[in-house]
Amino acid sequence: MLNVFIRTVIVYILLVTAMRIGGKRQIGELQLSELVTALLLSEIAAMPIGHDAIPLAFAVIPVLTVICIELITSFAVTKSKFLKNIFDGNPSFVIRKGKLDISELTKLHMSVTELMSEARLQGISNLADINYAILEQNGQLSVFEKAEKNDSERGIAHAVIVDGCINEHGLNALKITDAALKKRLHEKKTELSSVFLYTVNDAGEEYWVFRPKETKK
Amino acid sequence: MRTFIIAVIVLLVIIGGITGYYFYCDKTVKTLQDLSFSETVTTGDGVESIYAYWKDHRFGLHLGVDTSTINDVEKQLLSLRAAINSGSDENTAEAIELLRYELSELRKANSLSLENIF
Repeated sequence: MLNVFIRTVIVYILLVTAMRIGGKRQIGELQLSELVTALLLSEIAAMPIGHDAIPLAFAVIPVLTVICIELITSFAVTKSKFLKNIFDGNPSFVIRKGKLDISELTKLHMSVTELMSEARLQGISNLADINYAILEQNGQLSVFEKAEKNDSERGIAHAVIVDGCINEHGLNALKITDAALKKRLHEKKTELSSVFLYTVNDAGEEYWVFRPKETKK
Repeated sequence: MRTFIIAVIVLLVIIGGITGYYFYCDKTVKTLQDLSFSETVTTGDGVESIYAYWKDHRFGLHLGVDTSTINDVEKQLLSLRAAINSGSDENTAEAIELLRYELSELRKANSLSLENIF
């Protein structure tokens, strides 16, 4: 039974580490340690139910241990900045002062189309209207719009170029031809590979994000 | 704060409880092993005393050891008893060896070791 206790602690630490490495977006609405606890408890509790050769203590002890560790961790995280950084991490600024942070997106394993989708779910049709977009520790995206955004009917933004590649779906939605796109790139004195994101909304307003020069594809 | 203190106390009780249980199991199995190596184990009285000790401590062992291991030890004890009652020296010797093996497996299963953890 001592082995079961030690295994429980090891598996708990392992799951917390794995979820932390996996990133905030796996977590959903729970705190990291809460998610690990929820995952563990259901698996542990089911063990002696399905296998009557397993003593009930093999579920009771680990369940109580996990809950105690969760309570101790939750308390310790509120008291220690170091532990808070380890367990919860920090919010990630994906858009800061209206500027999209490409390196942050890469770190979060998040594509720009997912970011646009999250923004639309919050009622924002255009990334250009966002002042700050913050991915919180629990995986939710907080969005703050620019104060000076134009409230006229502009429809939604369509992604035309994403990460250096042409998005055919966006081109078709805007009825833009390949030739017209190439011409626009020429006017901007840039090439396809230099563009991280290019969107156009229904009113024709453009939003450009270029790659930093050293990370050109 | 109160919840935190309660959680720490419960965790300490769990650690204390399972450490105590670990030593209880180890002592019980060691006693069984000593009895299995005693000179009287091949006699009717000897096997009855080891079996009586086993029956008294079986439930306690069952709390922390899986049923199949407990059943294996019980089976070997009953085999030994049957072999002694039948008067066959060969069967008795084999049954004693198997019983000692099962008890060493039981002790290993309960031991704190890297092999058991991983």
